[in-house]
Amino acid sequence: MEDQQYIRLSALNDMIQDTLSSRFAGQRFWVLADITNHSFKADKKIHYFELVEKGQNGNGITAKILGKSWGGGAVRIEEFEKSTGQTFTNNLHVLVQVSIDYHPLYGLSASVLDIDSNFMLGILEQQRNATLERLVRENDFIQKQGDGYSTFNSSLALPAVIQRVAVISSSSSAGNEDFRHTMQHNDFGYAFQIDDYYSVVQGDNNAKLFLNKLIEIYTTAIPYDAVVINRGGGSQSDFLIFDNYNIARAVAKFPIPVITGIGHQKNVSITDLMAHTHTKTPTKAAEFIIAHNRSFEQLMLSLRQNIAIKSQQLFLNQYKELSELRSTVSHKSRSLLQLHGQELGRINQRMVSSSKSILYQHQKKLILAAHQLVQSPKMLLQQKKNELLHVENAIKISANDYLRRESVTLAHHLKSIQMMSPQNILRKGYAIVRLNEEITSSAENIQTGNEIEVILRDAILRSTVKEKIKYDGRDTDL
Amino acid sequence: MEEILTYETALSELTAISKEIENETISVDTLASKVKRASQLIEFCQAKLKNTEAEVTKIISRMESPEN
Repeated sequence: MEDQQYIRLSALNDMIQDTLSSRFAGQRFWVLADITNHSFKADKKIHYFELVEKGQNGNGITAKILGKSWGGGAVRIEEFEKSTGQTFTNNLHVLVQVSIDYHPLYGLSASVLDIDSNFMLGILEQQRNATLERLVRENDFIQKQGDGYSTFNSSLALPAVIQRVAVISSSSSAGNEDFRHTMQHNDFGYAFQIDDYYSVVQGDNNAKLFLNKLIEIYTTAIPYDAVVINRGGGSQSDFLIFDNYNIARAVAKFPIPVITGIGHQKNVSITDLMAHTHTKTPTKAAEFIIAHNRSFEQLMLSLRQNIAIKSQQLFLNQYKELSELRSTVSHKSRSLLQLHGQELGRINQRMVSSSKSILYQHQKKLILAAHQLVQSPKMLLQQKKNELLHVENAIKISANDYLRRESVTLAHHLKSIQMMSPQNILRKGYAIVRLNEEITSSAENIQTGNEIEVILRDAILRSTVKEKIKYDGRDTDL
Repeated sequence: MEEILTYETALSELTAISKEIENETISVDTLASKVKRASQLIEFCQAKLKNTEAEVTKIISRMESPEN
């Protein structure tokens, strides 16, 4: 071995460079390839990517070369983007004109000098679309919604708090370590139970292994709050497993919300589209879970604060209402009493004034009556006096009249009497008969034989009745 | 007989009395007793509020520092 000849690596690489340049210098090739792992340094206007060719069946890659494009090539790419409306990016199936470069330090690469706009869509994208179409077509739990997809998994509600998590990742994944670290050292002191389910997470041919891990999680019957699929950063071609139909379908159908943390900055895998939530890195997946829990805690905190504030307001309002009621009751009852008092006062006043006026009227009547009373006896007396006076006068007058009349009558009577006096009568020839000392004008009691006295004008004749003869007085009828 | 009074019923009764007095539909005969009842109700409500507030404050402060 010690005698063997050797050359320096740089000499070897120089030889390769010489060989390659003698073969490829100044030559340009139109090549059909797919773009993956693309990045663009905007400040230097350099595209870095890989050109790949896939096998006829499935997603296996059969050829790959590093590619870059700057200067005139980058200008052509810009024109391509403008003319097609398609960004020069991963999964683009392109027809590009390349030259082959070899650098002793940086190795073999293809410089893209031109791009054919007619090859707009890459086969990867076409396959991707075909896979997506098939997923929608063959599974009723997957629907296209605008630019995204709605699946059974994405329609699941995340638990309010995520605490128990199953993680599918590769055992050696630095990304998974980031995830665990971020979860366990969160700022809010949330505790998590993280169960690892290791699998190979690259290469389309490992899809079955990955699928079995999902089934294993399901069959443990552990009530996980979420399943996280973690994959650290890597080149685009490593992620083809996540465009696998069966994995995408299983994720879409999985009964526990799936959160993806598949590390790539450029692409969204089909698995990402089928999952409940997709994040760009394992760390971001952890941050999403923490933020989710945080938002629950925030909700609790704000509810607590609300309760405190609202109950305080409630108490304030109730106190206010009570004090208003108290002041209303005391004020209004006082004023009501006052009102009634005033009403009473008014009634009292009315009563006093009306009774006064009644009294006054009665008094007036009384005074009038008294006055009248005082006046009337005097008048009566006067009247009586007048009457008396009148009577007196009348008496005086009538007495005199009467006396005069009487004296006239008396004189007349005197004359009559004088004319009718027995002496006169006797003088006229009449006689008076006396029986038993009594004058009689009838002979009824005079019986024959009775002693009678016949008185004449100048003598009394004592006689005895010899005979009684009936006499009717016709003798005097002269 | 012990009266079973809740804050709600006390408050509604109190409000009713207040309205009655305010609308002057109350008779003077019952005014004193009603005002007395109102003052009892206010006292009851105040006490209930104060107790509840103290309790709620305690609970909230416990809520804010759960380790105690």
